[in-house]
Amino acid sequence: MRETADLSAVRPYGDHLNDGLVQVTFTLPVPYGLAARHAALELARTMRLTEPEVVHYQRLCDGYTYFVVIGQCRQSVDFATLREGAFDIQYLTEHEIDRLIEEQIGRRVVVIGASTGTDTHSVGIDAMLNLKGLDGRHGLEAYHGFEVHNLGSQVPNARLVERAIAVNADAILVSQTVTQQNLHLHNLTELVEIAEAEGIRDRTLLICGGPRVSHELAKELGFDAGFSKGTYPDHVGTYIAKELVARRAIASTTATAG
Amino acid sequence: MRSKLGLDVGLADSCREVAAEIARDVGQRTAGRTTVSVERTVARLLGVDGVDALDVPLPNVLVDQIEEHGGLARGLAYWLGNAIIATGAEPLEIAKLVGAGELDLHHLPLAEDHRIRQTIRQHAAAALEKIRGTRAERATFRAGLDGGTADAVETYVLTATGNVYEDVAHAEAVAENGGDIVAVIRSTAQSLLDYVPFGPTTEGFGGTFATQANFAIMREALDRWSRANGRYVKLSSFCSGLCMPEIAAMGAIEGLDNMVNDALYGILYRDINLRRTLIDQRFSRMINGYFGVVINTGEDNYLRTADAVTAAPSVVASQMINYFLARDSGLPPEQIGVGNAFEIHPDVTNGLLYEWAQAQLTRELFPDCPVKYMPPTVHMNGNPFRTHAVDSLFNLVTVATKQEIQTIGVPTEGVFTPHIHDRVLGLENTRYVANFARDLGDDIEFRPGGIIQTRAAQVLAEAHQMLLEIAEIGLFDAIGKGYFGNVSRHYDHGRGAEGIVEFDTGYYNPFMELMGVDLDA
Amino acid sequence: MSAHHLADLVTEAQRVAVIGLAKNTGKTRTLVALLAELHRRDRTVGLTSVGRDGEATDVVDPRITKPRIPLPPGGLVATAEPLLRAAGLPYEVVSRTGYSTPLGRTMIARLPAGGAVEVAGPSSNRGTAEVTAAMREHGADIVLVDGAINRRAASSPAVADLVLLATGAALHTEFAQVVEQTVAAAEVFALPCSGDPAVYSAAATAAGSVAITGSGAVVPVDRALTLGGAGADLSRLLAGPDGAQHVVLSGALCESFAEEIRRAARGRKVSLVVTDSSKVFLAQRTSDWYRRQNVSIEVQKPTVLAAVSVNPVAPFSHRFDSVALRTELSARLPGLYFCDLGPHVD
Repeated sequence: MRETADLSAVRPYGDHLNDGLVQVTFTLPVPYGLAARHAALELARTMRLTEPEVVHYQRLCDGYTYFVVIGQCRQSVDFATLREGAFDIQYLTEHEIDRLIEEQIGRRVVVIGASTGTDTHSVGIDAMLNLKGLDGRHGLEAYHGFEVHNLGSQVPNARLVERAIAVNADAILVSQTVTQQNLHLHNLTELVEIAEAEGIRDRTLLICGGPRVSHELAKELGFDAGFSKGTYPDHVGTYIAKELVARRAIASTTATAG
Repeated sequence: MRSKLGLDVGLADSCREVAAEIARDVGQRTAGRTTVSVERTVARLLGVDGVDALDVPLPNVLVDQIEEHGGLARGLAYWLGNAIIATGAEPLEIAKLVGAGELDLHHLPLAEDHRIRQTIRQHAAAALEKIRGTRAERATFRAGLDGGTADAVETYVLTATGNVYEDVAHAEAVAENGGDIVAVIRSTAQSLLDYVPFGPTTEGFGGTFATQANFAIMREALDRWSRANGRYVKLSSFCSGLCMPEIAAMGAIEGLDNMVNDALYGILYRDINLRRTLIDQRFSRMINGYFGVVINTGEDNYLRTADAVTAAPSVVASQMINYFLARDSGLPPEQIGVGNAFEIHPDVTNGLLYEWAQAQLTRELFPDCPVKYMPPTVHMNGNPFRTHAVDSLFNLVTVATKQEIQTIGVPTEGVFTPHIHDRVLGLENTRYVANFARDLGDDIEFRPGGIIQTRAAQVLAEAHQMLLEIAEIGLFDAIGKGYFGNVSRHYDHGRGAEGIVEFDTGYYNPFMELMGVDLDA
Repeated sequence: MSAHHLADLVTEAQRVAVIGLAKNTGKTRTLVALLAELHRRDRTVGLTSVGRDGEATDVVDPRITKPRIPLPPGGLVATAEPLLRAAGLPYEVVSRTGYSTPLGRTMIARLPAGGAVEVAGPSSNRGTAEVTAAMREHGADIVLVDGAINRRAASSPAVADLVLLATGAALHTEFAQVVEQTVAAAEVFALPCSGDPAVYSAAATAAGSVAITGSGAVVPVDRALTLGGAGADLSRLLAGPDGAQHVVLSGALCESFAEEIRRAARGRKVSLVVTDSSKVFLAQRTSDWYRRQNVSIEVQKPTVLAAVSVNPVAPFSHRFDSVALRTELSARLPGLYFCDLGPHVD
């Protein structure tokens, strides 16, 4: 009989429960040789991998060696509590999103997007919004439930807010490559601040996306949601539709209560 | 070479005729004009380099002063030639004096035109001779080393750490693992700068600035490796953005072997004014051609914004036009690496056959060109294992269709700027397939009327149709109508348009004349 | 004893915003010092954040460990429900708000025993004002509103009676630049109130932004102009003897608009009036520079900047001499109180 995982203490799975098997690849800036191999094993132990094994290592060039290491991770995570507490969402399909919007909102949801500031990358925003989408999954433009405006790249924040008000947007999407330089963060916070100054912060969902955007960063920046690598248009679509529906529900209870 | 694809030779020839006509029309529409970057390039070729006290590059200092007085229509060479006569100083000293606010080029007595031309022409000829001399030494150095076998694919590998000294470490790993050409990716925003940054870069965003100091650091490191290991490794960079010709000049001076050189990329994806950049492109290609640098065009980029299956004809049409624009700048076919890419979605049934058809078509249409093949990027979803598998098929098509320059695919494409071992894993994949399937191309025939032949014929026919349409309306309007990459750009719009200057009758650029003379000889 | 002075300065206020000029300028440290001092004075504190604060490590640079935020016993907090549960402290739910954040829906709770909490309240000003009022209603003598990164919206008089500003070495690698940027920011907080009654009556009646001409006519100014960016043609608005004298903005004042106004005014005196200083977005030029070009930026409601805390250390980068920094800032901004709540580690 197959054992079921204890969701309060989950470990990586290789071929049987709780074996904790993981593989790690990395390069060390040391010359290729036995000492290098030894260093990799030591490092794996400091990563708290038990019984680490170097399954492959090779010289890259003078002074650099590449490793593939497997080992057992004895640490565990409490999935049960995480699932209960965290911002979690059950993704819907394109069809389900369209139906949710039609039934619960009853009009097309207006989404406007851009890559702002000096960022020249429009790939991320295009993948979410344009018909073609990403990896065979349509962008929001293809949905019946969304009216999409994509302003492209290098759009000033003020201009994006102006257009958002002009088209009466329900959600604003921005993509930005975030680095450790605060400058890139400041461009994202400026959008939030201008939206606040123009009085639309509460009636517009602000969503940011980029390679290093997390929920935590999104909150700190003042956005309603943040999406990172591995995001597909239907993920963003699900969030927008569900959040708008939830907000309408809250607004109507408040109205009744008041 | 017999066509494996059974191509309609007449149709291919007609494509060439129409494309040549389109290129000629572009030449006519950009003639009689120069740009601020072309004039800065004249300064650079004359040895002007460095920055003033406010960190403004000296070529910009000179051009700005001349422009301020409305003198740019005569060309920088005119004013600099006059200043040489008046002061007896060399161009670099003059630039420094201007930068320090101690000299105004317009407040000097004007010598006679023919004397000015004669003076600056002598300086220009001497400058060209000096650069040619160091390039000849490089050619000798290279000839003494193993340059790889002539018919093998050259692997082209990128580095992009943002710190030129880390780029050196990556480049050494690339060289060690058989890479033939190293290219340092530039920082994201560089194409929009109307000047070339100065000095070594240690902190970049999305790449490392193309600066003359960075070129020199990379060149020296690769030469050191080449000398120690007996195999010559080439260096490449990017003549694109608002400083196309300046980067060509810097590359010539620092001994670069290859350059990406394509105005269309800047027009479509950086919103650079199309007239500005086509004028820049002409001079930058002229410099590349004159100094024996191989250029690569950027047709692969269209497939990032348009679907690879449906946009295939636009790639062929663009290759044709780009080829003739390059020929018109004096580049011989063996220095024109027309671009192509492996970007069909992995879920497309028989996608491999379409890729094979397209790659073979490029190969057959440009038999004398070192065609450049780019790896899959758009549909790489972050799963490094899938990307590695797709790259293997890309490598197979590369070897089987005898592409000459191949940018390698890396498993972490689309995740982050690849790490040092990702480049090496990519090179290993390439080497494995190149050896394991080495003579596949010679052994293979395509079934007449089969998927590959049919696809190639269809793409060529549609490309022909597209070329006819473009010839009808001109390249500028075609770009306006979104023919390439589904992006539309207008003739008058875009960045850098203010940097275009119409010649007056006294305009002079000694390098165009000198490089032209040499080409005819 | 700087925290003591800080508490003295804020003691009469009911709503205090703590705003930073960038990440890692010491906002959290200021908050922690203030909380301790207010507790010592037996004040019941309410706490909310428009961003997120009290996390163990920095969200952008995980090498940076951050001070935890110990809420004094009996204190109130507005934060995302999962964060509160994760803190593992006893709490009483005071109310659940309708505001959702990327970290979960926000709630207001009382912590009878206090303890270290992660704070992530509503992100918007309306939400912040609402939870602030609710915490006051439920017994908070004073509510601290924590800013985030460089966001200034919470400094609006609509949200806070008083503002504390955190600045420091993290702003720039050059000492002089840290001083310049801090001075420029302080000048924005200190923008003067418009002295023209016509401005206030126009603002009260107009639906959006308006221009007031020399003859007193009130002309609507479209958002496409105020937010449209560079190249907006404002010459008609300002042309002629009856051109605009004041532009009263209902929303943001962006740099490109200020710049276009300056250009179109050709040296003539124009005032740009915003509701308060949090609506001003200048990056290239300072408000002082515009004033010298005859474009004066004014507010309808003033912001009270009470003090500036200075963090002389930029984590994993560089540090300046704290006394020198504060001396220089005091010389440039006389009358403002500067403190260093060190010790700082990098």
